[in-house]
Amino acid sequence: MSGPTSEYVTLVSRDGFEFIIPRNVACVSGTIRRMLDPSSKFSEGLTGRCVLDEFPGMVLEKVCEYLCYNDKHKNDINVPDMDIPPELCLELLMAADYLDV
Amino acid sequence: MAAMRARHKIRAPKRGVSKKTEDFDSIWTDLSSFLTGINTKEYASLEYEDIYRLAYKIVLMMRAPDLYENVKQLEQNWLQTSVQAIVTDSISASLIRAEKSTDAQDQSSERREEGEKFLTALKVAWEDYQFGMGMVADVLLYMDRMVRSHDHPPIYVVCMSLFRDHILRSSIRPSSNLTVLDILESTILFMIQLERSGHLIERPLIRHCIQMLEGLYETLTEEESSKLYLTVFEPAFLNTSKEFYRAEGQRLLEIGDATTFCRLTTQRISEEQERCRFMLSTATEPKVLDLLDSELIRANIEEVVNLEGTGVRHMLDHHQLDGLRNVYVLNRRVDNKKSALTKAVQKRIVEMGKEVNASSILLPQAPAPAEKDDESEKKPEKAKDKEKPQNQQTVAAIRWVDDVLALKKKFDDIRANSFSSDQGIQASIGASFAEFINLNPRNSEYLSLFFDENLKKGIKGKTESEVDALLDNGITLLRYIKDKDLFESYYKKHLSRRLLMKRSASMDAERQMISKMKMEVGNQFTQRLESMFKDMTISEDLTANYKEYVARNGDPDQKPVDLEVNVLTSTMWPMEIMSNVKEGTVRLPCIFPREIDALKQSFERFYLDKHSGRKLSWQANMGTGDIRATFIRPNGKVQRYELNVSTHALIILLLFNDVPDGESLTFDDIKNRTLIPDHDLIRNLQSLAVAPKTRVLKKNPMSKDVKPTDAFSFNHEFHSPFVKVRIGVVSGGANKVENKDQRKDTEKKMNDERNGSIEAAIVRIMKQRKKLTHSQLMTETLSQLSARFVPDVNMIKRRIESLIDREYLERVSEEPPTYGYVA
Amino acid sequence: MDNEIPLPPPRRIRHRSPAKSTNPSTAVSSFYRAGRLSRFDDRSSQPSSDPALFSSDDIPASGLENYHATVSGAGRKRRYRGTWWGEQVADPKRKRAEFREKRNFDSGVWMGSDEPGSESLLTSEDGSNWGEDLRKTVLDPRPTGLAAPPSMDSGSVLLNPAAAFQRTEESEAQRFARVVVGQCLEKGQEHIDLGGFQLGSLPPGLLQPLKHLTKLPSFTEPPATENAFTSLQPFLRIYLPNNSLSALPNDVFELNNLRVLSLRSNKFTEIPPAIGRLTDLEVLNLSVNRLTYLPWELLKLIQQGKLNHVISRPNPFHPIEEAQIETWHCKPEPDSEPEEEPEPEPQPTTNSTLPKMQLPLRIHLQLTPPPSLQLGPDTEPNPVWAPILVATGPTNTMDMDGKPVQPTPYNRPSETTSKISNAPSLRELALRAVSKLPYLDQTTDQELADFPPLIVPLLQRAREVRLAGGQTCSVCGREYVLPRTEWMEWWDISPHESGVQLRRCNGMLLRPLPFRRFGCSLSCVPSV
Repeated sequence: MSGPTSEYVTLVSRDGFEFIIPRNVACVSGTIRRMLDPSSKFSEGLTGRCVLDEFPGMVLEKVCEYLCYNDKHKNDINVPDMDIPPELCLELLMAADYLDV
Repeated sequence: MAAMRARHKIRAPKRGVSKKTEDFDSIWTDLSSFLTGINTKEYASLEYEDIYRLAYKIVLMMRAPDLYENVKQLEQNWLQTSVQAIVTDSISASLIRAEKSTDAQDQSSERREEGEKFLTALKVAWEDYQFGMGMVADVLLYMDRMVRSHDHPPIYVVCMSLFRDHILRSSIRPSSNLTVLDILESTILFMIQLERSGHLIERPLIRHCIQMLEGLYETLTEEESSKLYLTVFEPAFLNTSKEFYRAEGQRLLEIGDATTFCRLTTQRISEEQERCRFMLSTATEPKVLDLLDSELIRANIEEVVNLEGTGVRHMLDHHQLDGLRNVYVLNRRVDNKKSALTKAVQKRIVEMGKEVNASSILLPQAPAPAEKDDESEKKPEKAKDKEKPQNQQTVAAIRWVDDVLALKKKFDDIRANSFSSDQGIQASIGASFAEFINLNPRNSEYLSLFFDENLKKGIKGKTESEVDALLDNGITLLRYIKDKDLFESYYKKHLSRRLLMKRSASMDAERQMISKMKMEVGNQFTQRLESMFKDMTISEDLTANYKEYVARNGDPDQKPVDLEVNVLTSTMWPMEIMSNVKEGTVRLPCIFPREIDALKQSFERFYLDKHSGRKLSWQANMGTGDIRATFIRPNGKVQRYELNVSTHALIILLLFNDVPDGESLTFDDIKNRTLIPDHDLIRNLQSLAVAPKTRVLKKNPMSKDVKPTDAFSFNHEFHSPFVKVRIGVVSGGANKVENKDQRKDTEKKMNDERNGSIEAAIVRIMKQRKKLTHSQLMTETLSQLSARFVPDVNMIKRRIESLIDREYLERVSEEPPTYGYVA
Repeated sequence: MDNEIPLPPPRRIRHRSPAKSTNPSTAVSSFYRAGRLSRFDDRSSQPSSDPALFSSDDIPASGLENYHATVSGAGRKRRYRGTWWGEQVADPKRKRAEFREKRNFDSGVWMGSDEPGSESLLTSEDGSNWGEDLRKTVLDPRPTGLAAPPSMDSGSVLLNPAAAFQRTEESEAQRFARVVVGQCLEKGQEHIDLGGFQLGSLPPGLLQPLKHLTKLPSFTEPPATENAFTSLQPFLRIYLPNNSLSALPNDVFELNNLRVLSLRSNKFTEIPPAIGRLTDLEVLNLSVNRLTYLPWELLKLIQQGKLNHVISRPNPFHPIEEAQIETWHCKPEPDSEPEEEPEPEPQPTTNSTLPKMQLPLRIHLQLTPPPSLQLGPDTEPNPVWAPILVATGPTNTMDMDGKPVQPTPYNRPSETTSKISNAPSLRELALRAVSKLPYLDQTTDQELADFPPLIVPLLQRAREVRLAGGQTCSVCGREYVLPRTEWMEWWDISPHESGVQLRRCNGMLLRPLPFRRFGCSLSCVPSV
């Protein structure tokens, strides 16, 4: 479930929640894409495991949901809105900024 | 939600990891150690997230510009302290010495080895650095996003410019002016020269160095045009290439073989293409090929084309299609008009054409003296042996056309196979053909004879498409002939003979020919020819109608004589047939015998009844008649023959009906009783009394010439293996080359006709334009007439004078000379 | 009860008529001197001046209310008593019709009334001069006692939303404006004229109360006839001409009962898309400003709302001849038959570089159903009335931070550009949620400064959008914060450029105006 070529990667939150999502979905994020760039020599790229110390699991979960949402609708014409809970919206804004999504 | 409302404010969420006290310097210390780790390739435990987060923190402190500057400084130090030394150390002394020379020969192997060492060192340094900077830029993504809003170029771009300035642009030795870039450039150029002189070189290595130059820019905005490759390397490369190909051109010329030149040059072209594609840049390809074109090809092509013994002439003569194709391809590269090649081809065509012309004149000289005897000898045989050409000159004429056509085919072939059916060359070839064809003054006549021959016999047994091709070939030549009016008059003459004497092999072919000419030369040209055909058709109907008429109204007592009449419109048919005027004397109509005269009158009644007001004049010299002659052998046996003779001969023979056996008529008797002109009479008597096979009359004395004092009597001993005997008229019925007098005659007639055409054209123009200057009038007249012939300027001038004299025109002004139309 | 029918009131010369303010001939000549005519689309056949010239009377729907409107303070509003024909005398439509009959369309004659503003716009870029020019050239209608207050610093409200909470210094003009508005409110007067006040900005909250303006029923005309039972729904009209405004406070867009808005002779460089929220708007005057384009939302008001009169010329609109065009929707007729127009323009023409497309564009359309059967523009999209899309410009895209995407060759071998996704960015989604937070509009910049620096502008933007009442994507209709696409469309709205609906006829010149349009995602682009 890891390694530079595996199809899935693991995102780990500050409080230790792990989210396993497809690599191409994770790479919607510019930051994660660079992190996992197989041509670079970063340890994340080698292990397929990204520890994102900035975010609690609650936020990272929503981020992962968004990544999937984005990947699912990337070619759609009329993309439905994704529900963002108001209490998380600022956290998510920060996360979006950090992860460049 | 309730809790948040209590705040009534939007606060930035608390950060999880901001427990320990952090300041810029301590974060930077951590960060810089990571970055150094990237530079030194100590990747172990290098976590992206760690470094990214450090940079993120610094940005949140609003210190992004400081971070940017620090990173820049760090990378610069790295380059200066570590990378630079590695690169400069790899440069050997001999490379520095040889910097200025790109000559492949001196110390090539040593220099090559050391050059490869240097290139490898530089390549490794570059690739390591580029890779590292990719990682650095990745981890500093957040900083880049931040500084972008402050109009800084991305950190990667800045780092690349550092490599440019601190490695490539650094001097190789503390004391030297030379930079690494200078050495790089001279080394690569040296390698390329090596390759050009046939050595194998380390292509991938050079490719990598070139990629480096393509990846670096002069400016931070990284415009396409500011690539180091374009600003530094390419100009130098083009410069050496230019010198190389200039020398190469000289070298190849000295070999002195056009085929080799073309082959090697073609090879050079593909080499350069390949070099650009696989080693340099595709963008350079057109530039270096341009250079090759101008230095190697454009400068030398003319000499190559004209190389004695191997040049284009040689290739044409030996039908070397591949060689010609190479020349063509090369010439096309540098010259859209391919003038060098075209000129050579044209020259050769005219030369070969002149040879053809000369041989057609030479040929008939040899058998000329025997011609007359031959003729009289051969005529009687003709009935048997139709395939045999009529005389040598006609053969020469037809051979001329055949030769020209063969030449044409040869060049068409070359054009299609070697010159990619080039339009421009086609036009030039055409021009050259026109040039030499028009050098032959008898071209029109020869061509018409060619058609005549083919339409009479040549097309027998040929398929429709073969006939078509044959006629097309002839038409192609017609295209080149300048004096189309002359051709027309010959064609008309020959056609009229074919029609009247029913010698055409196929009326379809005749009509096809006319329509082809119509397409080629125009409606006006064929108008008269077509009306000749029309006359023939109308005459057929007329004959049929007349037969009915005779059947209804004829005198039953009289033995009916079948009459087949061709009523010809006098203006449409050739003058010499129609004309009753010969050498200024009016020719009286000959006296027809009773039987014929009655027939003639009967037809005239019939015809004038239909078309009153017309005048029929009977051309006895053009007609034929069938006559049944009874020969009483000395043993009393009666032998009947059907003789097919000319109308004149018919008249003569009928005279002998009234002459008792054994008696004779003298030449003068016959002449007086028939009024047949001397010329025709002599010819007819010759064929009746001299030709061995058709001796219906006996002549006294027996000789070949007919003299006014000769006496003629009916020859009862006439013998022939056939019942039907055709007695041709000596030198009358066949179309052949004119002799000098006839030629002069034709030319004179032609001139008269041309004068008429010119005057008509002038009057037409002036009537429309009212007033024109001399030069304008000349141009317009020439353009109007050019489809038919190319008039002589003096001729036009004379016509203008004449028109002024006759008060069609007037001089309006002298400066510039202007004419006005007099209504 | 004075049953006698009074005589029609004498024709009064309106002292506010700009046409009177200058001599047209000098105006024209001075305009030639200006020499930059092409910037202004002088082909305008419509006078730019407000219908306010006939303001009290010319709104068809206003007839009845107006009839018995109370006499109000400044007496600038004319009131009629008497018979129908009394009103008809001054019927502006009638007058306008005559006016139109008398001149050729597109005669090239520059309306004198436009001159003062336009000239100063041309010659003076300086804001204070601008005001000076206006003051010199426009006769001030008010009594000397109420003389225009000194021009003031024009701090932009919109650009600095924090100012909304700092009502510290208010200029004299603004205070005066408050008084006028207050009076109107008090008297239930639906005609608010703040023209020529030298207002640099409108203080926030100034116009907000007008939302609740209630018309006072008219009791002054006993006996109460049927006519007296008129609607109390106010017919709100706000006139702000001849000021130095460059932005409108957001509360203007809250006035969803606003019928007439005049911003003539101000310093607007753009009209916010929020104008689309004024769904009752019928007349809008934007002439003599510094607009280079109009918001696309105006078109929607024309197509779906009640807006039927937009005076937008003259303005330095980006001319279609010079614009980069991606798609032409109207092909010019291949052979436009020689018509009497355009008349030779005497001024030196500057359009030496002709566009790729042959202009002028002429309309040629199937005029079915017969225009005579068409009663109004709001029945059907009809080529006779409806706006016509002439051309579309190239689409610019913005990145997830809302910044224009620059085509910089980021020469990184390892850099793989991510596939462009049509889904909204997480930033955008979060911002949409943020903009719905109840306390966003009260958050100060200081509080925002705690956020990462890249987020701050995003939050400010969200707050702006929120203050403007939200914005909706012009393609998909979704509410959004950061536009991702932006392009220009050129539309011909000439039937709506005159007060009376002037229907199109064949061969008429198309005079397209640029409209700026935004999309909320990368898939919200011009439809082909």
